[in-house]
Amino acid sequence: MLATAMAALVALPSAPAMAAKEVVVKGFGNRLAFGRYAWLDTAVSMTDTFCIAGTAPAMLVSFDGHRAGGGFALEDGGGGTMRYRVHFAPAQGGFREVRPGEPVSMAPGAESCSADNVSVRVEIMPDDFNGAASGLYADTLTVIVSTP
Amino acid sequence: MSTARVRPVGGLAAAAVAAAFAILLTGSPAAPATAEADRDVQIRKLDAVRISGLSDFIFPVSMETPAPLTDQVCVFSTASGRYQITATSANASGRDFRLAGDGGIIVYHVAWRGTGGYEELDSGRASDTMGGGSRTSPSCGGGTNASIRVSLDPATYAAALPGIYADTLTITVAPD
Amino acid sequence: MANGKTKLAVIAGVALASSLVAAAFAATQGTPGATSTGSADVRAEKESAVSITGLNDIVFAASATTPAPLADPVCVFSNPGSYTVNVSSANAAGGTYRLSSGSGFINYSVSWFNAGSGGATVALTSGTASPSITGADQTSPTCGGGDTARIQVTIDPATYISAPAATYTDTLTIIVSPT
Repeated sequence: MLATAMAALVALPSAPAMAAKEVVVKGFGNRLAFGRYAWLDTAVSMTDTFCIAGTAPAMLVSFDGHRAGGGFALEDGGGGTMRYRVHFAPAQGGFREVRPGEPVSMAPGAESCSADNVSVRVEIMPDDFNGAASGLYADTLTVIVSTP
Repeated sequence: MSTARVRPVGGLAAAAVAAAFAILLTGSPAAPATAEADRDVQIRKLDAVRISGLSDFIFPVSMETPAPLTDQVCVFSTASGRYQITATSANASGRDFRLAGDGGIIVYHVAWRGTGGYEELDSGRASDTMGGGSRTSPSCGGGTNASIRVSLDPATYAAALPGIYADTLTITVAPD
Repeated sequence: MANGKTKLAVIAGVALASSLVAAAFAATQGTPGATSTGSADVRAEKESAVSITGLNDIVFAASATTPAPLADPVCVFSNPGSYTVNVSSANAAGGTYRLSSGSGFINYSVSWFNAGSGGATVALTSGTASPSITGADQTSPTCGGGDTARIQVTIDPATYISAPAATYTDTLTIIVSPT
């Protein structure tokens, strides 16, 4: 992983910086570990902030992961799934639930990441959790930021 | 369009690396740029159980040892309906369930029936594996699937002075 | 000279004291989780119970002079171990026990002993409960075939001598209550 990230940086073209479109995503790599539960009476969620910045006036932000029933799903490795929900709060605006691949337009408001400016909240609903078989469920949630 | 991906593989080291590196992509002046980053989402689901439908055991006032009382309860267990029962007397002495009153103590017995016959329980000791719990409904669909029988020990009842004897019976269910 | 036979028919009464245990809904239900715990109250009330058995009629022999007292051993069972006794006369005048011939009366007194023989005595007043008496059998309603108390009747010499010859009777009602 380290090698991949370094390679990306090394591969930067030498075009004038002011004229290039830049996209910066910083601080999205932390694991969202919910811990252990047997039963949920209410939804559990984890919220984290990260940074999206760039020189373009507008960007499209979308999330992807394992999909089930039109939504995000955790997997247990044995064919079992557990739906979860992703809410995204862009730099300007409140949280809204997003579907896999659904783009959200936002103005980054900054060309570099000096501070977190967006939030993501992952939520698991009781009905989705309680009906699942016991086991470890996981997914890789990917954020995709692009300029138009 | 060019894409860079950072994929944490779990653990603090991976997270630290991902947080330390900003993904900065610069395309040509006319080309759009895209960046991706990943994070793992994880939750562990344990087997769940529930006991409900419990009622108090109130024996009729009697000079002679009253007949045993039974209660029908609901046990929910996602562990294929299997569970263990631990019943504990607030006035236990060793493994004995006991009622306490001003006039002494009265020993009583607790038995549990899941799918088979009644199994006598010891205070504070987990039972053998029981079956027959509801696998899907925490309320057993409004029904019951297990029985508790409480019976008073005739010898200690006869020896006890008249009066009120009470105990709190705590029942804990665990998946098996 | 008075010449008569005095007969006492005795009826024993048994009082049972009991109270109902108030049914309180204290049971708690478990909630879903990795373990689930509920609780229930277990309550029993052992009843206070008494009984008096072994009573016999007390019949004095016909006599021109005041007959000697007569006693009747009885079995008193009381699972608390103590009790009160209330012995009342059907022909009582106030608290005085009286035999009646229909036209005349002979007074008598009643004493209670807390043992089949010997024991401590309590002088009784008709219609009035005695102080608490110990010595009852706590476990056996039949006192294991023995006696744990006795009732003694003593004829009052003054009213006996002055009474016309006749047959005098009374009915004693005995109520035993646990204490």
